[in-house]
Amino acid sequence: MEFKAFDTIVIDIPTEHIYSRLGYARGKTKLVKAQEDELSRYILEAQEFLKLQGAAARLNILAKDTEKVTLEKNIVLKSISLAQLLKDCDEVFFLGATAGTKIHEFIRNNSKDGDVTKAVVFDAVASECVDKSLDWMMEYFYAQLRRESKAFSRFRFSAGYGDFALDNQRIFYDTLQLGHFGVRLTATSIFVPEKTVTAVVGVKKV
Amino acid sequence: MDIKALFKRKIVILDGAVGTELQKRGMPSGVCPESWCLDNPALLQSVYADYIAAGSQIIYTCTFGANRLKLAKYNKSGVFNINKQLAQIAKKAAGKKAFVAGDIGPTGEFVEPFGEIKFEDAVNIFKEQVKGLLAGGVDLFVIETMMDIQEARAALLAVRELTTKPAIVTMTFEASGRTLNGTDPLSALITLQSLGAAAVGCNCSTGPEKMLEVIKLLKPYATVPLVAKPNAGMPQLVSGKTIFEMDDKNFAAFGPAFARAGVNFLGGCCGTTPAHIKAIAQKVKTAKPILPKRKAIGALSSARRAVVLDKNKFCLVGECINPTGKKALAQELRENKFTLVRALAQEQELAQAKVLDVNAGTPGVDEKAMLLEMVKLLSVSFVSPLVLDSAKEEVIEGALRLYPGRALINSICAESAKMKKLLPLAKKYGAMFILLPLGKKLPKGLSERKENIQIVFKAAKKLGFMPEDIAIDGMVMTVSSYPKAGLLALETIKYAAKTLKCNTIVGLSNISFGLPQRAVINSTFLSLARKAGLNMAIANPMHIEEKTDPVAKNLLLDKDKDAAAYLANFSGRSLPAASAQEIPAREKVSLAIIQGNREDITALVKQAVDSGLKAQDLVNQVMIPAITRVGELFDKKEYFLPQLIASAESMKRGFGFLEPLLKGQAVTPEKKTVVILATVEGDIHDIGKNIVALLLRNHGFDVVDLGADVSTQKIISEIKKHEASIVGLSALMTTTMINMKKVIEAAKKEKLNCRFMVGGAVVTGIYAQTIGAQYARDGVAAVKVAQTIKF
Repeated sequence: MEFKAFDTIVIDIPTEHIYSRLGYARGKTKLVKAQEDELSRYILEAQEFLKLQGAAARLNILAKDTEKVTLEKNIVLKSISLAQLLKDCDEVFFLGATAGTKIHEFIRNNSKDGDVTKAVVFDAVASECVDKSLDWMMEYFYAQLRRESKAFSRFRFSAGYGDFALDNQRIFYDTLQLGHFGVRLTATSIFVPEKTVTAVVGVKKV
Repeated sequence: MDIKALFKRKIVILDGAVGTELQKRGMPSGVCPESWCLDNPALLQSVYADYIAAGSQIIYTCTFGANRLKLAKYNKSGVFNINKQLAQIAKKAAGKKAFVAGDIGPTGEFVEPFGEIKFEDAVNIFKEQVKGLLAGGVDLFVIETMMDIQEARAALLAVRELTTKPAIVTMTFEASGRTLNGTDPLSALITLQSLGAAAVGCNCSTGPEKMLEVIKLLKPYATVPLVAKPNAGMPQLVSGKTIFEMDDKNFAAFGPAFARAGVNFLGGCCGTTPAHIKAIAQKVKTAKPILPKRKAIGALSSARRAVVLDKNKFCLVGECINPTGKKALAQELRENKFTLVRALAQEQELAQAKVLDVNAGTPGVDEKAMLLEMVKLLSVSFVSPLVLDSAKEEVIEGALRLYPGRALINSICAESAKMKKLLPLAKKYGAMFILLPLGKKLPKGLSERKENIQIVFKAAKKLGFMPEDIAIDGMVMTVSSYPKAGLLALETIKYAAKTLKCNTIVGLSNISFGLPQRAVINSTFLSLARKAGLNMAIANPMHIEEKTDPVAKNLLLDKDKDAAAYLANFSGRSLPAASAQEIPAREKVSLAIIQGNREDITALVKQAVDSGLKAQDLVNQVMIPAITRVGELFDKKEYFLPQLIASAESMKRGFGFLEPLLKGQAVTPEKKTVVILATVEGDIHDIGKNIVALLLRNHGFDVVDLGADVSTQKIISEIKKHEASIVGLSALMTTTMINMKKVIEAAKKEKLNCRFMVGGAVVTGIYAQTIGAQYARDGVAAVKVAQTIKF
C-alpha cells in the first residue's frame, strides 16, 4: 500500500458551486450589490477558517467477484455496485479530505444563535471545498498514473451510497489515518467535523 | 549551447514519451525507472536512438524522478551519481546528433506557501540533481510537468544559481486551464520568463488541441520561446479498453497550427511514440519559426493572476496593507496576527484593486520575517500580484526570493549604495521596480528629478532592464506645504511616460495631506495625472475615483495662493449626503427585513415605535408580512438561502427589540404554539434544523430546540413537559432517519397529542407519509406546515 498525506490542500474557491449549493438560480435569483458584496466577503472570510487536508492510499486489488472486492491489508469492500465499478481495475485509491475543525466550530457555534447567515455561507463553502479537495487529489495522482499508462475509473464511490454501507467509513477512517487531521468517527459512522468526505476510485491500465 | 541559434532557424523538435517506450522494452510496472535504466543502459539508448532517428533535436535524460524525495520511495540514494550516469547514457546516445536536456521533474510535494516543503529545502533538493546532471555533461535543463509554480521557481533558481546553461520550464495545465494549484498559463509565463527561463511552455495532461490554445494565448506576452509537449490526445474508452485517441497522423496534423501559433519547441508526452515525433517533425520541417514578439513586458503576476500593464489603461494598486499610521494593524502585527491583513486584502480586491502594496515596517516587529509571513498569506489566500514595499534591501531580498510570482519593488532610488544592492536583486528575481527620482537629497525641481531618473535608468539598462520593467514614480509631495507639488509631479509623469516610455506611478494620497476633503483633491489629481500619462497609482481603492473639481484643480495647478479658495470652499464642510426621500418608518422596517439589513433593523424598529406605532401592530402588520414576502421570494427562487437567513436574522433582531414592549402592551398574553425541534439520535447535523427554528420563531412560534443526537426518550419527555403541539425531526443520513419512525411510534404509544413534521437531505415526502408525518423540504416549507397544523 502507498500512502500519502496532504497537510495543506490549496484550491481555487469554487464560487459558482457555492452559490449553486445555496440555491442560487441563474436568471431568477436577484441580488443587490450590497448583498453580493456581503456574500463575497463571507466566502473570502471562510477561507481563514478552512484548513483543507487530505490523505490517499493506493491499494492493490487481490480478488474480486460480483459482490465484493478484496484489497491488500485484508480489506474487503462489499457492494455489488462497487464491484461493478471496479471490474476492470487492478488497484484502487482511497481518498479522504476534511475542511478542518475551525470552520466546523464556527458553523456549529453560529448556526443557532450567532451569525446564522455567515454560518450558512461557511457551511456551503466547506462542503464544496472538501468535495473539490477530492477532485484535487485525483488530479494530483492522475499526473502519476498517466506516466504509468493508467487511468482512473469513471466514477468514485462513497460509503453510504447505493449498497455500499455507511459503516465502511471505518475502513476509510483507519486506512487514511484521518485521526491525524483531528477527525473522529461516531458510533453511527458520521465524521466529526462533518465536512469530511471519503471515496474509493478504481485504477486501470490504459 | 546557444539556444537562440537553435530556435531562430527552425522549430526545434523535442522527444516523446520515454516511459511507455521503456515498458515496451520490458520495464516492469512499479519499478524505479531511473534504477532500471541504469541496469539496462542499452535499452534506454535504443529509445534515444529511435527518437533521434525520428527527428528529435533535444532528448531528455531519464531523470524525471531522480530527486532525493522520489528516489527515497524506492529506497534509493546517491542522487548525484544517478543523475550523472543517466546524463552520460543520454550523451553517449546523442553524440553529435542531438542536444541533451537534464530532466527535472516534480518532487511530488508542494513548496511553501502552498505546501510543507520549505523553499530553500526545495532549491537544495533540486541543486543536488543539477550538480549530477552537470557532471554528466548535459547541454541544457528542462524543468517539466510542474504543477506548483513555487516548485518550478525553486528548480529554476537551483539551475541558475549553479550554471549559466539554459533552462526550459514547462508546466502542466489541467482541463480547467490551470495547474493543480490554480496557476494559469499567463501567470506562469510572466513569472518564469522574468525569473530567467530560456523558454516556457506546457507539457502533459492535455492533447494538442487544448495545448494549442495555450500557446496562442501566451504568444503575445512571451519574451522567450514557447514550448509544447502535448499528450497523444485524451484517454478514451473504446470497446472496453482505454486508449489514447491520437495516432501519429492525427497528432502530426496539429503541427502546422502549432507553428502558426508561434511554438518554438515541439515534442510529445504521454501516449506519443517515435512515430508521432517523426510525423510532427515532418509537418513543421519547413515552417518558419515565429520568434518572441517582445523583448520585455510590463506585467506582474501572483501564483494565480497576471496583470499586464497598459499605458492607456489604469492599474490601481491598493495601499492599505501598511501599518504606518494604522495603530490597529501595527498592533496586530506585533501580536503576529493577520486578521486585519486579510480583511484589508479582501476589501481592496473587492474594490477593484488589481495589485496590492504590502509593507511590514513598524516598530516592535522583525520586518523581514513579518513581510515573509504576509507574502505567504496573501499568495495563498488572494489572487492579486504584490508590490513589495520596504526601505531595507534585505527585507526586499527575502520577499523576492519567496514570492511565487513577479513582484513590483517599492522602490529603487538614485542613492548609490541602495541602488547597487537593489538593482541586481531585481534582475536576479525578475522583478519590476518603482524608480523613485530621489538621490541623497530631495531634488529641488524637475531637472534634478530627471538627473536622478537617468542615473537609475542607465544603471538598470546595463543590467538588461528595459523601460517596460520600470514604473517611474511621479514623487508626489504635499500641495499644502509645497504649492508646486501638483505641477512638479505632473511634469515628472509626463517626462517618464512620453519621453522615457516607462510605466508611471504615484502615491496618490500624498498630494492632499493636511487638507480637508482629501478625496476631492485625490480624485482631481488622479484625473490630471491620467491626462499626463499616468497608468498606475498607489491609493485607497475604497475612496478613489477620477473626477475633476475646478477649485481643487486650481489648487493643484498652483493657481490658488495659500489654498485660500480651496479652504474657503471645503473647510468644515462635509460632503452633502445623498438626499434621502422621506420613507415612512413602517416601510423602512419592512424594507430592512426584506433586504436582510441586520445592522440597521433595531434602530429602524425603535424609530417606528417612537413615531407612535404599537409594537403588536408593527409585528402583525409590517414585520410578519415582510418575512412572509421573503418566504415567497425564496419559493420562487428570487431569493436564495443567504438572503432568506439574513432576512430572518433581521426579523429576529427587530423582534428581540420589541419583545419587552409586547409583553408590556398585551392585555392577555397570547399563548404561542410550542414546537419541539430535534435532530434524531445518532445524527449530529443540525444547521438545517437551526434555520427552521429561526424561521418558526420569526412567525411567532415558541420553539424548543433540543439540539442534535437526541434520544427518543428525551424527545418524548420534552413533548410532555412543554405540551408541544408540533414536533419537527431532522436527519441527514439514511441510517439515522429510521429513528424518526421510532419517535413517532413512541409518541403514539404514549397517546401524545402532537403532530410531526420531518425534513433533511435524505428525507422525502413519501417517507414522511409512510411514517405518519408531514414533509417540510426546507425552512419556508416548515413554517407553512406548522401554520397548517396550528390552524
